[in-house]
Amino acid sequence: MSAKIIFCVDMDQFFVAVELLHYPQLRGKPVIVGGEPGGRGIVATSSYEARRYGIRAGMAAMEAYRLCPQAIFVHPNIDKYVNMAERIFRLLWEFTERVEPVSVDEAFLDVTDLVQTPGEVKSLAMRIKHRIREVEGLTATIGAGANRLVAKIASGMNKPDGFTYLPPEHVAEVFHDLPVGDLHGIGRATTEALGRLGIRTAGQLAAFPIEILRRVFGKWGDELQKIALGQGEDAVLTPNERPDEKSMGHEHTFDRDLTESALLLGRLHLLCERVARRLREAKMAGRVVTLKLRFHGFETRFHGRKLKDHLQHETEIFSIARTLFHECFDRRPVRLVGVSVSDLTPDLRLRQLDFFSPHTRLAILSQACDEVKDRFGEEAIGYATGVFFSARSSPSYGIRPRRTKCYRPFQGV
Amino acid sequence: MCSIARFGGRFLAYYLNECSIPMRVEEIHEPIEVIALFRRGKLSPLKFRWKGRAYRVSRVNGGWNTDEGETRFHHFAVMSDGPDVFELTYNQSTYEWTIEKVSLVG
Repeated sequence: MSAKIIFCVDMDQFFVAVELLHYPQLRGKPVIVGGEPGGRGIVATSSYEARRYGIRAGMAAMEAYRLCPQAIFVHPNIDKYVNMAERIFRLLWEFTERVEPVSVDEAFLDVTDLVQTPGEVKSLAMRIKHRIREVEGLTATIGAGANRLVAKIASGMNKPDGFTYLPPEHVAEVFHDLPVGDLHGIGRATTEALGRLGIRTAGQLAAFPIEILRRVFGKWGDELQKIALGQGEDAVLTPNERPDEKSMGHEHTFDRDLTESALLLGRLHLLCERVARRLREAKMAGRVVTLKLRFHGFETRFHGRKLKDHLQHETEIFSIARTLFHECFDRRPVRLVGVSVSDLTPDLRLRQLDFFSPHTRLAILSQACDEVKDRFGEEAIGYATGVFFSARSSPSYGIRPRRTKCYRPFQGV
Repeated sequence: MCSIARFGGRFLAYYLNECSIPMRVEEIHEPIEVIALFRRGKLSPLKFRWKGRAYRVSRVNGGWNTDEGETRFHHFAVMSDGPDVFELTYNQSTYEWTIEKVSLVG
C-alpha cells in the first residue's frame, strides 16, 4: 500500500459512557450529559437510548427534556472525562507515537508504518479497540482511510463499537451518495449555499463544474470539490508538533439575560483574568483584544482593537475590554459575554521592562498571584470585583468551597 | 417537574424527573475513615466507616484525579453491598478522606 493509513479513533458516547462506568444503574436508560433542563445549557452527549427520542448533541437541554421527560440529566464532570481521555491517549501511544488528539474523545493516528495489507489494518484496529475495552471498559469506533477526511467519515459509518476501512479505490463509490452536510469541513451555511446550486450529495459536488464553484465560493470552491472527492490532509501532528495557538479567549453564558453593566463588567473581569493567566502560562502576549457580546435574540457583536504593545496582564486586558464594552453595549439584555486576545507573540520579544514602570509592577503582581494559584488552586486569590460580581450574577460561580469542608447535607430533591 | 438543589455554590449533579426516579444523588462532603490499599503506585479503598456504619467496598467503578494548586485529590466511585454508588475523595496533602456524594437507587 503506497497511500498513508490514518485511523480516526472516536470514543462512543464518551461522556455518557464514563458516567455509566461510574453509575452502572444508569445502563439501559436515556441519559443526557449536559446542562440543566430548566436552564440554558445544551446536550453535550446523550446515550443511545436517549437518541431514540431524537436527542442530539448541541440541542438545548430544554428541548431534550421536552422530547424525553424521563431522561436522566447528568451535570458534566469535565475532570472525569479529561482523566479518562488522558488514559486512553496513553493506550493509543502504546501502538504509535503518531497520535494527534483532536478533542477529548477523538484522535487521529498515523499507522502507515505499522500495516502493510488491508487485513493488517483491520487487525490493528481490533487490537486497539480491544485494548481500550480491556483496560478502561469503554468502546471506540475506528475509521480508517488514506487521509483524515476519509478516516473521519469512516468512523461515523459503523457506530458504536465498529470499524470501517475505506481504501482509496472505494472512496468515490462510498462518497457518491453522502449528503454534503455530512462531509467534515462543510457547515450549515455552505450546505445551504450548495443546495441553492442544486448540489445535495458529495457525488454531485464532485461532478459540478469547478468554474461555477469558484465563481460562487472563490478559492473555497476548489477545496469543496477536493472534500467531495475524498481528498484531504493526511498529516497527523503530535502535540509537540502542533503550531502555537493563534488566540486565547473565554466566554460565559449567563443563567438569565443581564442589563446591569456592573454585573457584566464583573464577569468580563473574571474572563480577562483567565485569559491573562493562560497567556502567561504559555509565555505569550497578544496585542488584539476582542470583545464578544451576544444579546437577547442571539444577535452577536464582536468589537476589537489592535494595540501598539503586546499585553498579558488582566488589568491591561480588562482596561481595553471595558472600553470596548462601553462602546458597543446599548442596554439591551446580554446573554453571553466573551473576550479573546490574538496576534500572539512569545513574551520574550516583549519590550524591555522599566523597573519603575506600571507594567513592571503589574508583572510582579501577576507573578505573585500566579504563584499563589499554582500552590493553592485557581480560586485561592482573585480580584474582588470579579468574585463579587460573579457571585451575585451566578451563585454557582462564586468562591468554590474547599473540598475538605463539610456541609450539612441533603435537603431533598 | 425538576428541582435543583445548590450546596455551597455547587449544583446538585443530577436533575431527576419525579415520575420515574431510578437514582437520586445526595451531596455529603463529610470526613470518613477509610482502609485503603496502596500497591504498585495505585490506591484502592477497601472499607470505609460513615455515620458509625462500616461499608466494605465490593467494587471500584472508576477513579479520577483533580488538582487544586499543589494538592491532588483522588476520587473514586465505589459500590458496597447494595446498588448505591459512593463517591470518595482522598486528599493527598492532608491524607484525609471524605465522602462527597452518594447516589441512591429507587
